[in-house]
Amino acid sequence: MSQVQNTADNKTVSAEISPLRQQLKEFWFYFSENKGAVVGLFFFLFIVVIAVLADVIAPHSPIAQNREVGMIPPFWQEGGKIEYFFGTDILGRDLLSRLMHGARISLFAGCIVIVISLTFGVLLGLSAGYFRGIYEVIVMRVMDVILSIPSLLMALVLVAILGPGLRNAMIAISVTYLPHYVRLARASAVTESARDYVTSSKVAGAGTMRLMLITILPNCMAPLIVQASLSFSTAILDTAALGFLGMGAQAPAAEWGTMLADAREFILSAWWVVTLPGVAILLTVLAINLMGDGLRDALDPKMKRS
Amino acid sequence: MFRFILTKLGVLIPTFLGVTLIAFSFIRMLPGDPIELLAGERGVTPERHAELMANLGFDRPIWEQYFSFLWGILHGDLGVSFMSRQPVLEEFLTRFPATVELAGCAIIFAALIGLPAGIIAAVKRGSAFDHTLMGISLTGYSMPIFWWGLLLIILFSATLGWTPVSGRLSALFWIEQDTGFMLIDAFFSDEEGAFKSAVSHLILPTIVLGTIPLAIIARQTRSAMLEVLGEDYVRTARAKGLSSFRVIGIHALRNALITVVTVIGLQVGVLLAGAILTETIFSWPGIGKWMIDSIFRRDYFAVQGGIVLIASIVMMVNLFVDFMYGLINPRILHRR
Amino acid sequence: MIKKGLLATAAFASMLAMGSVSAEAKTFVYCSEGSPEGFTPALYTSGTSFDASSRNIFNRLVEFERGSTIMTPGLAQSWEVSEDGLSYTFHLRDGVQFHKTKFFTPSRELNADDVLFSFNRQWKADHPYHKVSGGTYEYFSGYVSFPDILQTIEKLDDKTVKFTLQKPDAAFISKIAIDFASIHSAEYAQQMMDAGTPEKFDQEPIGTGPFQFVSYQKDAFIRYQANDDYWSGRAPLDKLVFAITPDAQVAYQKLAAGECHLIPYPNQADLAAIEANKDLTVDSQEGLNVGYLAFNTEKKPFDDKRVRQALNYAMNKEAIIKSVFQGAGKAAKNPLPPTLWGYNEEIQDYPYDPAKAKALLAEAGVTNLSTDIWAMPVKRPYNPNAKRMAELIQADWAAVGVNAEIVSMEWGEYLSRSQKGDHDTVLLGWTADYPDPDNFLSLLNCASAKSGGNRARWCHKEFDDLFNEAVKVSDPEKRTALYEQAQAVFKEEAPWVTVAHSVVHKAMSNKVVDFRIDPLGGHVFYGVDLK
Repeated sequence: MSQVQNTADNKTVSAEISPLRQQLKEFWFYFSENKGAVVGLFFFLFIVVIAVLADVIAPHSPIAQNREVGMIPPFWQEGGKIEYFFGTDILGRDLLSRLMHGARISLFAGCIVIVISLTFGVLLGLSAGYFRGIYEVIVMRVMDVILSIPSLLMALVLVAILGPGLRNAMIAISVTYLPHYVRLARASAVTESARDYVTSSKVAGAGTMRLMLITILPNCMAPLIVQASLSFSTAILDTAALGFLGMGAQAPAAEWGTMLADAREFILSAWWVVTLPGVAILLTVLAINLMGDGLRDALDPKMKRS
Repeated sequence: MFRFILTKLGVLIPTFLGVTLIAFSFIRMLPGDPIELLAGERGVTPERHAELMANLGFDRPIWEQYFSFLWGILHGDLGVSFMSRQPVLEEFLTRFPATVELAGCAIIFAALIGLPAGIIAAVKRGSAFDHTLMGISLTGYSMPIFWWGLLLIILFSATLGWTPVSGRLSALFWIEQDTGFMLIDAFFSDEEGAFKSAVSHLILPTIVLGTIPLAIIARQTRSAMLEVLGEDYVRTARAKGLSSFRVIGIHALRNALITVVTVIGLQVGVLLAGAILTETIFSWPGIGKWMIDSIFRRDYFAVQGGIVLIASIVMMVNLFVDFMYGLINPRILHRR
Repeated sequence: MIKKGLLATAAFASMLAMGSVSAEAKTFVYCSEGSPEGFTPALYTSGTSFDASSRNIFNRLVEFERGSTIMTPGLAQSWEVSEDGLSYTFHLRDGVQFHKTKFFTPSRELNADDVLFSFNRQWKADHPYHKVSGGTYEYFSGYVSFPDILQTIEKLDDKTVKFTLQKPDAAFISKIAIDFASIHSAEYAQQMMDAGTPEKFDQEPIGTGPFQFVSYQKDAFIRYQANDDYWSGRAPLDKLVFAITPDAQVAYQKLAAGECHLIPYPNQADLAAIEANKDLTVDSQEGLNVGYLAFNTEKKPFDDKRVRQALNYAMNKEAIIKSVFQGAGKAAKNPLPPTLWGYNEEIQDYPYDPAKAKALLAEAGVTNLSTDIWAMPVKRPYNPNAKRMAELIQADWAAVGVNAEIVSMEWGEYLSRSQKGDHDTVLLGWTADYPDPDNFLSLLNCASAKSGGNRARWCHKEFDDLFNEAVKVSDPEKRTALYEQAQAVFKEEAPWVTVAHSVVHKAMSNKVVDFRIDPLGGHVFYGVDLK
């Protein structure tokens, strides 16, 4: 949701003539044409609400053990209890509560990855496109190197170096996403720098920072936002994959991938601990991708016009 | 054309050097080392630790180590795996065919289903088929494949018993590994049923690894087709009375080619990353699994050599794809 | 679309009619847990490599009887020990043939040269084979430190070899029954050296054992066939295949599907289901291991024995056995496993008593203690899930007012940092190399407190004296008495919480006849048959 708002805001900055309401309306018009996107948006909002309110609405603590009730199936199955809606894991922790807190971790990880990779990617890309020369060559070659190593392998090695854990997993994934942003930002910076308005700002005596961040950046925001919406979902998937390989969030954290890895030994004896975290990942990522589709549809006509 | 390749190489060489530098520094930053792992619970004295590290060449100045690593690469020598005590290149090459076989099948699977599906969806734009297909392909694209693999194993192997659980061949067949490609080796072996066994072992891993490329191919084929169908000359052709089958056939083929080549090119990294997860789940003896094991065992030279080899393959494939893309679509060549 | 594809391929697969395991020739398929590092046991340390080599292809001078820890003659028919315990003379068996394979045909039977070759390769730095395949012999030089024990190895005649020691070592016979002391063919070594391919010696092994090596496909299969001329009689099986299956879950599914006959490490969660399956059986045995939590006795307040005792009282071992071992474990009271000789039955464990724990902590003047619990990142036989165990301990200690943070890190770093004593308390364990109390108690003596193997960093005069005395004595009864006393001292001082001894489970098809669980953790297929 915050992204959607952002887009609108940024558009206002660039095109000062049209009022904010008009912009939003237009955006919503294109966005809502795509029914899937609207469904995705509402489901995503639902997950965001769960994540934000996890402390309040989760019926149990995600990490408190209750040794009397280990491995209880979901309530509709024989032996299930209504107070443990989706059953419990081996240590008697409530699965529903863990899934709710897992939403928080996953969304948080997705956001952080985007913030890190977007910030550093844009800084590197803009500066490369602005300063050019040997600096640009070095930055772009480093990005080529990162791109030539499969992302998961790269992330695995980085996490192995930094040590397993959610924070390091997020850093590692961000690094593997950097090249996309750097390339986009650089390409925009190169084209924009040549335009008249930049030259005139320069003549008017605008500083380098001001030129890069205030004059050039807003004009290459749209492709960056589309890229960010794309990587938001993959970031969640990659965080879960690292967790699944034992290199992401560590126990007792209720991260979905880590929960799956812990549950692997019960794959045949307790279906709920294996299936539910996977379903949670799939639905969340699907919702974000649906939303992303709509976002692209909504931004596209504008991108063509500019 | 010649200039095109030269420019590409001019970019490739520094990138390759960058990869060697990264691989080299990575293993030196990894915490823990193979000797500690080897000693396990009983521990190792500092003197013996130093002695064993010196055996690995880690006592020499860092620049000397790097240059001997580069020198080795030029001679096809990537060092010796700490675990197996065999050359890294040999370790890599014996496992590589397994990964190629899996990735190849996955791409073929994805293309065989994704292309026609995408074309039909584009032709019948807005139909129930179109909506369903796009829904399914977005789901496929959102799939955590490590979980998807587990689900398929539970369903088809554990519950229904239709497919074998893991590996590349039933243990009953004693066939020679001549090419390393199990399908080929099994096909030419004398043992009856070996080929069937090899095929049945490939099914689930192929589906798992092919799911995301399938989703991408279907979506991209559809949008590429929509663009073509909207172009004037197609409309003209149709208006002239050419059968829509012919129009779609000709233009679809061309677009299909471009889409597949692009997707393979863009996906080779994704495929290798997916192979790491798929091979782990299905105990598939390929390079993805080997890399993971090597990282966990701190097998320095295997990790270092593996990264360099895998990155080289990715770069080669990308170069090849650029080249192919140029052949299919000459405008790109001239633009440069 | 995906679904359609799925159904089609699945239907196709079902048409393929997968053959289950059965053939005229008796082929035994073992779903092994990992790839062997290689086939010369002396070079490696993992049980996986030993299963693939020493335990089925090779023999040693002295061996453990199958499925027990009783010493039995191997390639040495008999041996004598001198009065002073310094020299051991072995008489080799007559008529022992090395494997005859596609790549090697022996011209002579086993003799003293083979024994000398096998030990000298590991011992003498100037031996032509010493540097081959990496040249590190961790067992020989590190684990049992033979260079500090051996004086000479001499060939008295073709069939007699004499080992002379620098100092008496009561466990020497047990030590040369360990995998690294497997006997190789000196003739094959010479042939490979002459051919300029000495590393082949370690990749295509030749031994005297019940099975001979056929081929190895990396990460996939190892194939063996029965050695027709085995000196102790041909194995009932014709062919033996190791199908490498690292994931225990997958291995179980393969077992259930009839794709393999035996799986080594079934998940505890699946045991009930395996037992309920009428085609499968589960065998179990207590393993020769111990899982423990060591207090760093050099750090405050763990230098105070009352604090260590208090935290012993605070721990609910039954809960751990239930959730971590899922019943497949036994609460431990001694640092030795109960199946090992010298185990002190008389010892009373600290019962679960939080009130007592609080009282002891108060007595020691410890309030608001904040500490850490190190949890291993890996699964070991003595501790299948250290993180889960740590979570349980954390909750138990919180109940007596001790606040503990769980710390985990990469395994190599974990081992080396705990060796340096960075921890407050650390979870670890031990699996026997050889069935002798010496092997377990050496984790607690002063020498290992210095070298770091003793994670409690506990150096206690009385315990250490008892330990050192027992190494020198060769009379088993005297040794037993000394070890029993040492265990009493250990329990009173409580440098560890002895957590559990695991129970080892092997799941197999009902067709398997006479598989015996090896207490030392190996998988031996000689003597096993198929119905």
